[in-house]
Amino acid sequence: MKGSQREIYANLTITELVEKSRQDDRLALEELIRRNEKIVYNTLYHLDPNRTDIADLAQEVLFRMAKNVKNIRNPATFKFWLNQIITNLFYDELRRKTRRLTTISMDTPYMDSDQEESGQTRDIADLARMPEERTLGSELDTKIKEAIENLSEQFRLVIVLRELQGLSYEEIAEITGTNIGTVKSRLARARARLQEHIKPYLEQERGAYWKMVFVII
Amino acid sequence: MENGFCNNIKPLISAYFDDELSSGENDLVRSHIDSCPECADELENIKNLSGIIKNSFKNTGYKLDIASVVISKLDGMHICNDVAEKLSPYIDRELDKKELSAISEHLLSCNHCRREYENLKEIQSAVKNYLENIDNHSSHKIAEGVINRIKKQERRLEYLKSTAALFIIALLSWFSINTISPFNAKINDKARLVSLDKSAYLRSEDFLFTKVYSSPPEGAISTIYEED
Repeated sequence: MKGSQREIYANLTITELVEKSRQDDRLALEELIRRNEKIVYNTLYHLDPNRTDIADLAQEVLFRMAKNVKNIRNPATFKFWLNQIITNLFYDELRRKTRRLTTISMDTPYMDSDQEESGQTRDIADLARMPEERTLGSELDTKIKEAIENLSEQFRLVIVLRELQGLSYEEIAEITGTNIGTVKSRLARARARLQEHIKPYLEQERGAYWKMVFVII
Repeated sequence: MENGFCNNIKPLISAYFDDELSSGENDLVRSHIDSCPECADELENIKNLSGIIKNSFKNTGYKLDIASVVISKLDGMHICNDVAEKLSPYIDRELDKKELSAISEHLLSCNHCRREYENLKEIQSAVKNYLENIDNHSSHKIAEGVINRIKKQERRLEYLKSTAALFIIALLSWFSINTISPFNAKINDKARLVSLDKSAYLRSEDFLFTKVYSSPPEGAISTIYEED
């Protein structure tokens, strides 16, 4: 795409891009793909950080998006529609027996009453083999990321769809095939869990802050 | 505020923060939080947490260029659409040699279609598994259920059939009584009509056995009168 052309498309809204793509505007479709690659990748990553094939899955989502963009009834619901594709793929992957993980499993079984999949083993990420596909933020980011990872799939899903994608409860309910009440309670419980997990770290941070203040004084 | 009431409000605070409560619940929670430091704290915690989570998501760097890979595959997409239609017969080996090998080749190089193929295979083998492994007891139940439903449907059908048949017979009799002229003549109420169609009646030998008419039917060759 020439620079000037790219500029034109870069200024269109998602809805406009979707409408153009539906009319076989190839450049609009390319822009649509480019605009969504990062959020698609990040969503998949946070849903299951230990996979080796996140890039492949993201590619699959974008490909399905491109293939089916003509089937969207209302271009304004594009975000919702795209998240349906992502979540369906996520559920597909949950169903598959072979999980492609960069992990070493331990023998201790993982007991969690909220785990939908039983018989999961406790896994730790093999950091030496994790590909350099992304950068990590501050230490707090790492902590919260760990905390989210420790949630069960259903809790992780609602947190990601709400806090990363900004979907409404109704949209989340429809995408996950549940009802608003379930979404409400899952989010509340997931938040409570996360709060518990990072609380000690937050207090530590607070302590360190005050120490710094005293040192300065 | 009383602890009891707090217990009702606490589970709603998360949805309150997301602005997903009904207006009634919203007002309820808001007025409670105004006067309850504990619940106000809880709201603050959720707000902070949400900020931390959102930040962490935002800070996840992305160093790849997946878009280019996908864009480079757009041209071949129409091939994938064709292949998608043929996957089911492909799995059942119901394509000719040329198509089979064309699809096999495509599957080697196209991740998307290979996924679709694997999904389809999984579904088919899951169905096969289910059918082969149905527990005897549960298969009995299933069979019973199916048989009962079929019986119900058959009963309904029979009822409908007989109603329809009666209706048709009634209609035909009414119709023929009104249109076939010999039978419009005065008929002794001991007369029995054996055949409704005049010519068929004459052809058949039944008329030899019918009872009295006040006047013989048109075209009758002979009339037999029987005393009752």
